[in-house]
Order: sequence, then structure tokens, then C-alpha cells
Amino acid sequence: MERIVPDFTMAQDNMNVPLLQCRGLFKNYGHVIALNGFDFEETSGKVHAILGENGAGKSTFIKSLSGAINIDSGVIRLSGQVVKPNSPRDAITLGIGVAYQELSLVPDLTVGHNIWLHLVKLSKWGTLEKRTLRERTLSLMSELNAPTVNPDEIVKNLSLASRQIVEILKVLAYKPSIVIFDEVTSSLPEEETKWILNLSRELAKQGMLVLFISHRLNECRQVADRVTVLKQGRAVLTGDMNEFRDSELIEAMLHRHIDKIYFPPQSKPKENIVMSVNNLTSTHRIRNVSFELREGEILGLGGLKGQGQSELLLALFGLLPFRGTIKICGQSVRITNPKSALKAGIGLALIPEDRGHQGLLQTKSIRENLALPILNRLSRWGFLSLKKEMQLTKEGIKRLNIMCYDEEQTVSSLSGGNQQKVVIAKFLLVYAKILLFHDITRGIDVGTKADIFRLTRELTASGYSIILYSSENHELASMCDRIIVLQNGSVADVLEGKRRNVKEIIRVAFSAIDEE
Amino acid sequence: MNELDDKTKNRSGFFGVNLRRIKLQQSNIDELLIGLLPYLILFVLIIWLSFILPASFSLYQIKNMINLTMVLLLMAIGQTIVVLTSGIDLSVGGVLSLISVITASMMNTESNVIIVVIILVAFGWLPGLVNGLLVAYGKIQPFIATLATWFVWAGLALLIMPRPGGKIDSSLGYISVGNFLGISNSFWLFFFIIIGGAWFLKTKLGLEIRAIGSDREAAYFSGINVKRIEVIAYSLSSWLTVLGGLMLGAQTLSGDPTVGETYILPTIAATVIGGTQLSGGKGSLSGTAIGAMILTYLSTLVFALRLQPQWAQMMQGLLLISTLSFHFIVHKVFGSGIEVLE
Repeated sequence: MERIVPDFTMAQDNMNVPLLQCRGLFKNYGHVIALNGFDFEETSGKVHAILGENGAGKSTFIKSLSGAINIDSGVIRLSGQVVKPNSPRDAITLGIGVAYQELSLVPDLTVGHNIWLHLVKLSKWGTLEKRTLRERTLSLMSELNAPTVNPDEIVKNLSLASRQIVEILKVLAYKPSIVIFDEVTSSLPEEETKWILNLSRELAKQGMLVLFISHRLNECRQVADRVTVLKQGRAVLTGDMNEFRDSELIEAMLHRHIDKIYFPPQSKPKENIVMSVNNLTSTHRIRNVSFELREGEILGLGGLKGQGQSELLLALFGLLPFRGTIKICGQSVRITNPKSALKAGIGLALIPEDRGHQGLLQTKSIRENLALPILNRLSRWGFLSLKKEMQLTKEGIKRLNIMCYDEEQTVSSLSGGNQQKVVIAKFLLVYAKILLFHDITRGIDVGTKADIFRLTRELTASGYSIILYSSENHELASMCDRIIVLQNGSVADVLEGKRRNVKEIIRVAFSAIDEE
Repeated sequence: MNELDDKTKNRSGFFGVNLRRIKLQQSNIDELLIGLLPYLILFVLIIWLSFILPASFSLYQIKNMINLTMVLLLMAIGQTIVVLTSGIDLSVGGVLSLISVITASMMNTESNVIIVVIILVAFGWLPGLVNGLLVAYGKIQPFIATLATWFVWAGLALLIMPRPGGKIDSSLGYISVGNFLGISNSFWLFFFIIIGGAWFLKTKLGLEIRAIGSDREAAYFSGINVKRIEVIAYSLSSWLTVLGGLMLGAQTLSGDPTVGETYILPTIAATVIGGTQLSGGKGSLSGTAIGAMILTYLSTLVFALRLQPQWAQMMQGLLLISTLSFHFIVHKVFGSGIEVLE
């Protein structure tokens, strides 16, 4: 239809042209439809939260903006101009900056080089000088009120949290007009998370558009003006953040109805002790840790981040050297590497946090990944039995509710949560009866979380014992039979019965620090 | 590592104070030690040799050593650039043979020398362009791609000149034996490579090359044109090999269609001894230059000790193993915790 007063509406349009407008984005990966006619629109100066389960299309949407993938059809407009970012380089030029959760930092370069790689005007000699780099990095940090990270440090020597900060600084150094935070808070302690939330507000105030992706609803609520919920590649809900209650947002996200996420202990675990650890000490932060694990128990590991929880699990799995004794079912065992851990007594297995690198061969299929640790059992006279392999794989997929189209699908094409399930399935097949869960729900959506927790509870009911380290206190409080709170590498307290709650965990974790 | 985190978390004091305290963190010590190792080895070799052959410790002899190394040195620098992108360039051997026969069959008069030098310097990057395109756009593994092109160039060299011979006009010799401002050309070239090498890795291109080798995907997401940089790296490698070929011609004044093969593995050895990691991302060009010198001094030492020449190869191998063990130990002792233990 023709417009009756074209001049007037044109003027109106120009004033209110949204900074970012996406119309009908489609993207298929083989059989999987990642984006199915996704529409999005937002003006500058806003923080817009994007919610959705893993596999709902969030990351595909971000990748289509960042130039990492090409969409099959659909239009992206920046201030009314149609754009087609073909590579991350294009996106940067267009003013779209993405801070990834899977970090895009170059590990062997320094912090300064990583941040300024593409921006510094080359000096007289064509080089990036250390002093200039350091000054600019520090001034960027103070300008953004960021936690200080040594600009001369090589990135791979930094902690995960510091790397995440550098990732954000790098993106903001481009001075983009659209900033996308892709689950950047999932690996961060509270203080840094607070910084990001404040920063997002500040950037919006300066006229940028911030797209904020997080699995933590309360964070989105604190920071976002507006919200879009993605489900199966479509926008199913868009509006002002305060129009919706949490339950409405969750309802919109969930593709199936979830009764509950957590599966608290039903009965007391059995009395017999499957593992007892005595005076475990390691040069890597752990000091005199002793505890016992009962059959069918979920033992939580809590406390502030970085108090030795992950080191303890790594040591138990033979990845860190330690002193002290470990008894499994009353027998002393020697654990020096993962293989000896898997074979110790009834078997110890670690489900790692970094599923991308430690847990899976990304380019191989689900079947191959599952078969890898049990090749001995699957083969006869050196030949693999494909039939047995298939049968076990199918069983694993069914039992863990892994979303895939068949067992030959490569692991890298699965969503994060489903990859995590493959890792768990893999270790269930090795017959280890003691499982060490290393913050495995980090960055996973509610639905998959529920699946994993349901499975965790089923496992303990069938005789497995689990040590669960989680950075989310809610999970510990609702899942565990007992919770060990670590502080500075030693056991600060063991919470049982009524004391298993978030408040208590936090209280113990913090009061221990006060005493020092 | 942990201490650093605590410090940064507390955010106490001025930036300057923090920095000074952080500066000598363990993480930087291992890099420093690995960087210094080749210089130390070369120093020990020079001193050792001067005890056996006192005459070797003179400017004239050192100049000779540099001359003797120059071909390998130029090629090894190119190899290092490719290795830094986490690739490998086996074709340098074929390219060197090809240049050797081209120079020997075409540089028969002084004017021809000038023309051929100009043409080779101008187009010396072309063989590398082929490698780069195969690796970056054809997605063929560097080892296979450059193995294939090595065979092609080596075969072509044999076609042009089936057996050693030919004669190069002695005017080409000037680049090797000449002087500039009273200092020998070799010295100029050597110092230019040492300083230029350190400079190059700090330029934008140098950083991009290191970035690709360190983490290809991260580099891509940082907006680096990964494929283009890869093509440039292979092109540089072949261009430097062509310069090496001219240097070889200047020294021998004749051609040899199979001369390149003996150079391939030494370029990789010099790269590794110089402190560059084969997985890419980390290393130094000046280190490689020193690494090449080490290999030459080692052979000379074997000669001076009146051992059979086979000892030279064995000692190069042992040196390579000791260097890598040293890297491993340094990383283990001074590196960051968890990574090393896996």
C-alpha cells in the first residue's frame, strides 16, 4: 500500500530507524534448523536480553551478526542499511563487537597485543610498542572501570576470569556500536559479574546497543531494558523486561514443560563408605583435606570460586600430584594418572568442565566418542564389533536424552548441553562407580540442566557415588546429601541436614575469610 | 599465576606498583630462559672451538663462519616464519635446487647476472604463493602440500640440469665477498637479519603470523584474514630461499640440481634450536639465525676434533634432543601450573 503522507512518515522513520533490524533470518545445518524466520529489532541505547535454551538459535543468531556464518536467507539492517557480514573482520568494521564465552583470544600473545591487534596506529617503525600498548591498555581499563589485568602478561597464563575480562576489553577497544555479550558472566566470580552488569548499563547510556545473553535470569533482570525469548529458531516473546515475570520467561523458553530442575535426596545414603580421603595435600592449593564418601551419596564441593575445589577433583583423578592417602572400599589405592584413577577399586571418573577440549573429540561422531574409552571391551582379537558399539551408543543416547538425529552426528554440531551429556555417557560406559562432576552445568540451559540432574539422582539410586562441584550454590543446596565448603584449600565446614542451604554455604565461605 | 589473580582482584595500590611486582612473574622467566639458550650454546661452541683452533677466534674466521651459514640462515628464517603459523615448508629444498640450476645456466655474463638477480628477487615469492594457496585455500595439510611442491621443483631442477656443473659469472660473488663501508657484506646481512628479525615479529604482520599459529580460530574471530596471512608466510619463505640460492651461487659459482635436499631438515633443526615451537605461535627469528650458526659451528667443531664427519649429524641430533628437553624442563619448573601436568 502506498503511504498517504510520504514526507511525514519518511521523516518519522528516519528518526526512529532501529539501529539493528533483522527480518526473517533462516539458517540450516544439515537437517537441523537453527534459525527459522527470526525477527529482531532494537534501537540504540538499550540493553536487550536474549534468552533461550541451548540449541534455540541464540548462538546462530550471534554468529550471523559476527560474520562467523552466512545466513541462508533473511535481511540484516544496520541503521536502515542492509549489511552482510561475511567474516568477523567485516563485522568489526561494521561496528559489531562480540565478546564470546568460548574465548577468541590468542593464547601466545600478551594481553595488550590481543586487545589492540587491529587498532593501534602503527608507530614510526611499524611496530606496536610495549609502552604504548601498556599505557593504552591501562587507560582503557580505568576508563571502563575494569578489574586490572597485567597488560604484559601472556594470555594463556591468565585465569579464566581474567581472560574473560580481556575478551570484553578487546571488543570494546573496537568502539563498536553494537556490543554482544555472549554468556560472558558464566565463568566469572561475583565481583567481575557486577562489573559487567554495570558496564552494560553504562555502555547503553553512552548510546550503544548491548545484546546480553545469559542463563541467569536475575542478571538479565538487573541489566536489561528489553527481552527477546528464542525458541526453535524463532522469537516467541519480545517486550520490556519488567512486563514479564520469571516464570513467564521460563515458560516461554521451555520447549517442553519442566516440572522441576533439581532432584533433592529422597532418602539417606547407605552407611558403607566407598571412598575415604585422608590428609590430601598438594602444592596446588589443597591442604590437609579429609573426607568420606558413602555409597549412593552426592557430596557437594562448595565455597567461593578458586578455593581448591577444581584442584581437589583434578588430584583425585590423577591430574595433579598430591600427598595423602585415598582408600576405596577400604583398600588403599595409588592414583598417579587418569588411567590409574579409572581402575582404582570401583573406579573414579572425572566429568570435566571444559567439554570442548578435555572431554570430547570434537570432529568425531557420538559413537566414536563413546567407544573410545572402552575399545578393549568392544573388540575381539583386535577387531571392533560395530554391532556392540552401535548398541551401546543407542542405549547411551536414549538414557541421557541426547538431542541428535543419529549416532553418527559429529559432536561439534551438538549444542553445549548435549555435548556434556555425551561426556557423561562416555564415562558411564567405563564402569566407574565414583563420579567427579566438575562444574558441568556451567553455561547450560535449564532443560538440559534438569536432564543432567535427573540422571545424577538416578545414578546415585543405582549405586553410584558422586562428588559434585558446582559454582552455583543453588545446585549444591538442592542436590547434595552433604556439602563440603572449601576455603583456601582446606575444609572449612561440612554442611549436613538442615544446614544445606545457600545462605549457610555463603556464610561459611565468607566467615572463614574474615577469620584470617 | 594465582598470586597475580589475587593481586589484580584486590586492586590495591597504583597500577605501577602492581606492574612492578608482577613483572618478574614465573611465566616470563621460562620465555626468557628459552630465548637465551641458543646464544649460550653458540657462545660455548665458539669458546670451545677457539681452544682447539685458536685461529678460529678472529674476525676473519667468524666472517667465514657467517658466510658458510648464510644460505641455511636465510632459508631457516623463512622456515621459522612458516612454522610460526603452525605450518611447515619442505619445498624450500626444491626451490633452492631450482635456483641453483637457474643461476648456473643463465648467469654466464655480468649483464645477465644483474638481470637474473633482479628477476629472481622480484618473483622469488611465486613458489611460496603456490604453497600458500594449496594450504590456505586448498586446505591441504602443509606437510603434504609442500612435500608435493618440493618434488615438483626438484624434478624441474633435474630436467634443466641433470648433473652438477655450469658456470656463474664471478660478478655474482660480490654479494658474498664484497664490502660496504669497510665492513664485509656478510656481517651487514647477519646483523640486518638479527635486528630485522626481532623487528619483524613485532610488526602487525608478525603479530598476525604468531596469532594464527597460536590459535587459528581465535585469530579469525579477532578479525585477522587468516588465509591471506598464511599465503604471505609461505611466500616469504620461498623468497628468502631464493635469496639463499643467490648466496649459494655467489659462493660456489656453479650449480647443483640436488643441492637443496641437504638443507631441508637443517632449516627445521635451526628453527627448533633457536627456540621456536613447532606447534606454532611462539618463537624468534634472531633465535633461528643463532640456531643456524650453531649448526655450522658444530660441524666445524667435529672437524677440528678430527672426528669422522658422521659425528656432526649425530651431534646435531643430540643437540636437538637436549634443546627440547631443556624447553620441557623449563616449562615444567617455571611454567604455569595445571597445563604442564596434563
